[in-house]
Amino acid sequence: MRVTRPERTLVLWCPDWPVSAAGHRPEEAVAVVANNRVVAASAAARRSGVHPFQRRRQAESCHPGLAVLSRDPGAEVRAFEPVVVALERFGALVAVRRPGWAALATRGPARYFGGEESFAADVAEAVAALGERLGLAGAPQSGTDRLPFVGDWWRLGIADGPFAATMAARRGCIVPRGASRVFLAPFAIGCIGNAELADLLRRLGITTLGGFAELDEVDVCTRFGTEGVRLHRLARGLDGRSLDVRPRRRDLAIETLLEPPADDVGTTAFIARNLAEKLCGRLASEGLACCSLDIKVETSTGDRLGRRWAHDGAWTPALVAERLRWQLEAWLVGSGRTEGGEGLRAPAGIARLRLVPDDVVADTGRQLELWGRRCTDDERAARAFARVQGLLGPEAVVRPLLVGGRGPAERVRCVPFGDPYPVRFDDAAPPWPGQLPRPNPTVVPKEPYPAEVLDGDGHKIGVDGRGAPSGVPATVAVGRRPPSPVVAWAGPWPVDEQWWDTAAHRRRARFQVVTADGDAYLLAVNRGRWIVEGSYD
Amino acid sequence: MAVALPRPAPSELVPGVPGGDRRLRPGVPRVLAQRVRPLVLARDELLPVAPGFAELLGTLGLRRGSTLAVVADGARGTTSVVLALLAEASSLGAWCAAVGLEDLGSVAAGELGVALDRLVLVPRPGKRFTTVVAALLDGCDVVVAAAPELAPADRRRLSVRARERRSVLVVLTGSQAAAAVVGRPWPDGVDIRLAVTGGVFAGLGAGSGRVCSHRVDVVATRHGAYPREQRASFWLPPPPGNAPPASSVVAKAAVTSAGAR
Repeated sequence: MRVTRPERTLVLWCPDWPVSAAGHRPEEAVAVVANNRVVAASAAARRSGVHPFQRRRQAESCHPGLAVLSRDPGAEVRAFEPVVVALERFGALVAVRRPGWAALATRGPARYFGGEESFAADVAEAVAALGERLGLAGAPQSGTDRLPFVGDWWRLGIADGPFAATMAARRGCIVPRGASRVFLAPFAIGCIGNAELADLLRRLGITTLGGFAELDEVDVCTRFGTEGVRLHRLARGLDGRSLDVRPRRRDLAIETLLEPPADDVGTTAFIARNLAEKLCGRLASEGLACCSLDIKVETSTGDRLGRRWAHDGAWTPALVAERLRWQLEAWLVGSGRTEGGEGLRAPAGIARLRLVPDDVVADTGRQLELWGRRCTDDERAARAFARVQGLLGPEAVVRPLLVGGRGPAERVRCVPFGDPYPVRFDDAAPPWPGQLPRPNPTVVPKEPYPAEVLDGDGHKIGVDGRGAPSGVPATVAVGRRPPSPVVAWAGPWPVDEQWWDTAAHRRRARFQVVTADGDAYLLAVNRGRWIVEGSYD
Repeated sequence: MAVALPRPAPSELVPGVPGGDRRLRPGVPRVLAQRVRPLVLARDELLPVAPGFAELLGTLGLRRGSTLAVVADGARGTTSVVLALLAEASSLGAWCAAVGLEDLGSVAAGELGVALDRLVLVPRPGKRFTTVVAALLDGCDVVVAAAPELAPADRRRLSVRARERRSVLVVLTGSQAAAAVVGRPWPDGVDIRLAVTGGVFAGLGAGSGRVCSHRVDVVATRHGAYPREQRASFWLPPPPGNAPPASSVVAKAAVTSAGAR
């Protein structure tokens, strides 16, 4: 784990945000319910005994006349947006983990506003003013008035790192630098955010964060692993996580309406070029690159088609336009395709075209190799494969990956090009006792086809429970071909796999056979049925 | 642009020897020689192959832009021959694609030396065979295509595409890996035609042993090379120590003769 000095962080916490988001003041008795359980309750409701995780019926019995609302996560996010915007006036990097919780790195802003105290006071003032404007503020209550950074629907705190700052926000105070550990010590262990670990620690006799922090880090690591160490660091006030910055509001998708709908390749190529330039320009102006691009199309008949294109993050207008043109071409021209059926029906044209960049990352540029050669080769190859994927579908271009197994068919998995391709698959390493020795057959039918193996008297050959064949193979008939004499053979090599699983249990005995025609086969028999697993070609 | 120079004899094209391919005939002034030096080195135009194949092909590698045909002439072994042909180039980083080989055994490909992370399969090109192969020729160094019956114009177009894109097209017919594709050997327009005429499986006895290696006899018919026909036999995969496997029983399969079938 990367150990960094925790950053001074301001956290704005709205304790009952689902209630506030629904437009209710704290003094109204309101509970928000999801899946028949209370997720949030207003201050008034909590005073009469309503609490989270309670059943709805119990909550209603605690407070007659309780208004029960069902949860609307979308509305919570929308309602929180003005709060985030208000915070953004104080600093650019606002992190939102969930609606009702926002954090801000204070180092720069605090200096500008003349210290953390006055900075927090300014933020508090702005938030309180916003609450009054939105009608969230209730009547001032006695008890909370004395604390400067606590409103009736919000609380503020500043400390080292987001975790300590969240705790500080509960109290509505500012914890000086380096004092987080002392500040956190009296809090109950349940605050740590991992119910399972908290429960275990409680049973071990550790009830506060301070008690947990006193344990030796090495011991914690031995007993609780990496996650334990992370939580231990939290308890010690060493929250090294940097704030995850709030997602951008700007929508990067680009859309165009085609009037009249385009149904020929020439028109679409022209549109593709324009759109591609626009998209790349928009991404570049934000300093971003995207690793995949969704092309979505609505046809004049109302059908919707979509395909995702992946690239290593260096889309240029020419690349985008090329793929767009290929894809549209494939949809327009490929309507006669029989398989899959994902083409356009004949008279339909493209009415709406939408490009959605996905997996957006900061554009860090790309490094070619010293001579540039290999990289450009890979790029050229990737483009060719992408083009074929556009024609036939992404599953049609695959790369073989060796995995563990005994038979030749089980040892290969096909990964569509563009999907992650591990350098080495751990399963493929030995031991696989009973694995077919080298060389493996060069032809492995996807669907094993039947064979017939007879001994000299014309009887079918089987293998008994002890793995002994019932005769010496004399002729082999493969598929629909006529029987051919066996000139050499070996076997049986019995394999009994996954006997612990009744559905996947597979038991077979393998033979290698060379016929007088000059063919060599890998055959397998299971309950008297012979199949061709592979042939040496 | 490079000035065309007389192509050096193959003996002068020794990859790995610095300047081995830049030797010029005596009598060309050095200043002039530097000015007219070809921009594309001849060794860049060759994809390396295993030593046995070099003799068979008459060049030290697969010449970029050429079209090869691998056909079964009464014996099994075309798939192994193609995979062994690709192995050297693929392990040095060349991208290979196999089109229409639905039942190709990838484990065997790896065992014969093909780098699987540089191999891409298009098992079912369907009716768009020509388009797919043409697209792959744009990006891959070698494209192995199990050819369905194609119109002569399409065949020519693919060969021209390979030449233009400096990649190698290997047309495979008679392979069992190409399911349900009735192919016919390309009669014209191929630079080198490799016919597998015979083969023997070694290591398997009457109820004992296992298939250890497969000897394939290959006849190469080369366009514009002397001698026009060249024969060679390979053990695939090569037995350790490059000696034929010392097996008591050798299953003699097909006789080395054309038209046994």
